[in-house]
Amino acid sequence: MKRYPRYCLTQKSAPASRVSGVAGKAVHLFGKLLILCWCAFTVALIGWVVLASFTPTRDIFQNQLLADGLNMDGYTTIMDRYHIMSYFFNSVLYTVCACAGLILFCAPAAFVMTKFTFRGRRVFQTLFSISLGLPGVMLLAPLYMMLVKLDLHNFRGTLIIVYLCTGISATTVYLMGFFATVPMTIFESGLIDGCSHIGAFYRLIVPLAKPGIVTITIFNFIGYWNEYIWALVFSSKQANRTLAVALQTLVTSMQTTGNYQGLFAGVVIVFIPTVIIYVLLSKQIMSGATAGAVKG
Amino acid sequence: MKKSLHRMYLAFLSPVVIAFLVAYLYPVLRTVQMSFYEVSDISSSSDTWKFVGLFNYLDLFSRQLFLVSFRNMLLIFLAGGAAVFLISLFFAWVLHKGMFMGELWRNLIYLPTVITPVAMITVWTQYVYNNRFGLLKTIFETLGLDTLAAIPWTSTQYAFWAMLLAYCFCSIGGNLLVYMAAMKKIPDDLFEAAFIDGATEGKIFFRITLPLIADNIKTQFTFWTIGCIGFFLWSRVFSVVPSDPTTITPASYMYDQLFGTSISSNAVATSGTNVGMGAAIGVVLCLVTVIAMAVINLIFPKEKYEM
Amino acid sequence: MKKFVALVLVLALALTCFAGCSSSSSSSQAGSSSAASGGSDSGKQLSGKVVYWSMYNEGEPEAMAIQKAAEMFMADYPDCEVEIQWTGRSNQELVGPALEGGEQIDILDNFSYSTSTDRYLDITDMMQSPALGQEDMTVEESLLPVLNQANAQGQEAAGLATDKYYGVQIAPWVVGFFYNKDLFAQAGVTDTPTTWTEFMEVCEKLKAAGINAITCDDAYMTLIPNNYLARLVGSDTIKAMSADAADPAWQSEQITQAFQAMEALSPYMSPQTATNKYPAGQQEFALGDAAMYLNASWMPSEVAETAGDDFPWGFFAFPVVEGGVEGAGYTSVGGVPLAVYSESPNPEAAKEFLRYVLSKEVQDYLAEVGGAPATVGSEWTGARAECTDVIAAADKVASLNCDLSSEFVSAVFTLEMNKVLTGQTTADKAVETLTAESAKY
Repeated sequence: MKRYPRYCLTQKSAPASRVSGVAGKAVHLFGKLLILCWCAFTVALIGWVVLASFTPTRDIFQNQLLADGLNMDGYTTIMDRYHIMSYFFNSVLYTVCACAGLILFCAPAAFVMTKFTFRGRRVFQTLFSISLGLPGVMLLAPLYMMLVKLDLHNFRGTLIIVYLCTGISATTVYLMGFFATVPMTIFESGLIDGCSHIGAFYRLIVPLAKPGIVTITIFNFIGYWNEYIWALVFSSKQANRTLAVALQTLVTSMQTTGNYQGLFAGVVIVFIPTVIIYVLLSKQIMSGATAGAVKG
Repeated sequence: MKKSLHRMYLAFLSPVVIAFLVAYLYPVLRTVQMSFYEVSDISSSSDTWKFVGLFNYLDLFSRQLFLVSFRNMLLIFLAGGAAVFLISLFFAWVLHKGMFMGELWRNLIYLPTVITPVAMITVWTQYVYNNRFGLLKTIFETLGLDTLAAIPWTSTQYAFWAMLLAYCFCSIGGNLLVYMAAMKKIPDDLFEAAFIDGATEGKIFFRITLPLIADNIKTQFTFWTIGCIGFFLWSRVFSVVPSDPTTITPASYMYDQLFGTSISSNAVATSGTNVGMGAAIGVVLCLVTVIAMAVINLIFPKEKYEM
Repeated sequence: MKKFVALVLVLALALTCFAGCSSSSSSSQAGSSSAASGGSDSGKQLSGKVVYWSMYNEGEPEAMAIQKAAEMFMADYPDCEVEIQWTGRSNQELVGPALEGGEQIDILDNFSYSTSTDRYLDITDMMQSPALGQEDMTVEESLLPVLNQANAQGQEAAGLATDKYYGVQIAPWVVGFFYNKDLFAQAGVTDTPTTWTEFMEVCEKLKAAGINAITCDDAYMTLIPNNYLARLVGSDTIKAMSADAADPAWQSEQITQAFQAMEALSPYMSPQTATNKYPAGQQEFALGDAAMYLNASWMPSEVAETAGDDFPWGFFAFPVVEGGVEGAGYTSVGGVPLAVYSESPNPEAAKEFLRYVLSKEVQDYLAEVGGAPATVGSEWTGARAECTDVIAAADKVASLNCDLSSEFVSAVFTLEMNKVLTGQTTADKAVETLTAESAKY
């Protein structure tokens, strides 16, 4: 971080935010207006979902949202009929374990793959990047059959194992980008001070890598919270079901009973946690958002 | 010292290597193997498989619906990609240059990304595109743009573009976030110098900003490519009609071949499974991924700008 | 290193804990059923667990009825336990792999016999045993004849013997036009149409009265052309067409006639049809903005919240196409198949549980909570009551899509038909496209 002299901080506009030229200013103004419209559109969109969850179905399809005031039937139906809270607990469990496990496995690996040269390193890097692009549907069946043979298909931790295994490439590749920006001098000084390699990593590098770790964890959290296909196949039993899968079954059962108010109420219940997490942690997300760039 | 280093290699690399072998290598090899066999059901054991050589591949490329799905995927990649990258870069530039309550706008643009696609698709199809009270219709009518207001967005003619528009809308936030963060890291002195030299804004953007965030653009572009190759959920939820040629993509076609049914409860048509062919699609998509990665590495500049 | 090992251990420990949790099942323990089910012949000594993976979701009427059957069954056989997994509509994708993995599943539903012919146990003996609550007849006789016919057709298509039962159908549905009685009266239509000509006259009357005659949405639009074409060319030809895009019938005069009929129908379709994404068309009908909607008898529950209790529901069979092969009895009818897994560890209890599901009391309860009962004596309730005549008159069973389903059909035929129906193209152009494209499939 570069320190500016004090007078620089009092300066009204930093050089980065100055727009050069009349044309540039005009384009900037146009951009601002466009962003305002875009945001208004987003608010309308998401606001519609929220309001629809408080509106009886008949009024939703006539576009008379909240015509009869706040109607809580959608939420009470869901709370009464579906064990939404137990699915909520499952989702928290899977998501937290998967996120923690991924950092535990991927951060050290990404560190080694970025900062050390060893035979096969290039191969690792390439394989990991390519594996990012494999369609998940393709991995599904063989993986399932393998877990079945290992007699693991019917066990609550299976989904976590699957998330861990399939998530490694994305998390590792992201963290590789992040570690590329972390200076090695500290690590080396740690070694001179008598730390082992592993010890130096945990004591000296991990604290430095915190922003990147926080960011990828938030991305992972949002991803796994909404994840559907893997959760459907690997936690097919009701007791193990996640919120995203429950939402899908809720959507079908609301459709077959024509209760679109309940459908939207379910949607709101599922997205509120992710929105809260995002809003609370948006600063951290921003600080680590660039780390994913694969250098070189 | 050396021992300590080797111990670190072992401890740090072995978990991910094992996970990689389990979750990627094995399924890929298995899929490649399956693609040369006739397999009746996804769960049928390997002793019931029948070797058919390259038949699945030949059959696949003679299938019109697969070619249609491939064309759809390319269109999403090119048209959607152009829109997403241009808009997100532009928005990132605007917000980077400063805007009243910029953080709020950034968060709002990002918001659709965190909401489950199932919800977003329902809103777009039932509300935004509705041709009686839809948001788009209302907006265009208020602006007096009657031709635009009259577009039947979700009819077979426009359904693909409607899906793409909604998908792009939800994809912009993620890109914007990364570009803004990257622009923030560019040292002020560079802008200052250019400003004092009287460079136009266009020059500053293309000569300084863009090259310095090229790495990030490359990463985002890689993710976009991957997203297009695996494009699945939007296609299936946007159209409840199975194998709808207007929105089908290869990954969705593969799902049909593997599982034979639709996620939707209202499926009027069901197809039989053809697991061998589904595997062949998987292999083809893998090859496409590898080629795409290679091309991306070729077209993005190798030279490194030091910050 | 130590830290790392410790973390791995903690994780491993956590995972084992979940393994422990997973063994606790979500089965509902028996609440004793109040009404006497009467029929449990105490001669049978049944015990053990019956596991049923169901395509229904909690809260749906069918799920409530099945739950009730489980409670009755467990009250009569205290040594038995029924565990039901409500896996939802993705059931079919989950059951195969789960069975392969050795999961205990005794009862399956919503399958196609042709997927795995060896998966289903012969339950003929259960079907021949006395029905619960209607002891003067067998289970087979107590079910709607069309359901048994639909089941036999499913078995036949998969190459299974048709004189045996490898499964049984519940939750019957029948396809026909739902109509709004008030709108019909408003347009001066007194009789429901039975032929295509009469049907077109009704459409004209509705249009003259300023009413949108028909609406539809993408999910069900294909039903209109499929039903027309199937009646015109007959069920054998349609199956041949389904099997082969190169079948000469695709180039026949009848195809042109079908496209022209849809073109003639297009002015009577609601202007919203082209853009309706499911459920927009249904909702349009339920809001009284259109007079007819072709669908299966489950539709009233799909729009229950919108239509309300006083909606003037009416229902008539798809009209007979003049000059066509099929007569008035040709109808899309079906149900949800239930079967006992051939390697079930507890087949006798599973079969007996099925008998409880098919009992009069359970089926009557199903009707009461808003589902369609499968037994002959049970009245269809609510809006579904309107469908009773049509299902009674059905004598030749077709599938929901009239047995017309293939890649060529989805990618070309349905798409072109939709365009014609919504006025986006003409019949002539559509036939041209169809002919050109059929060579590619």
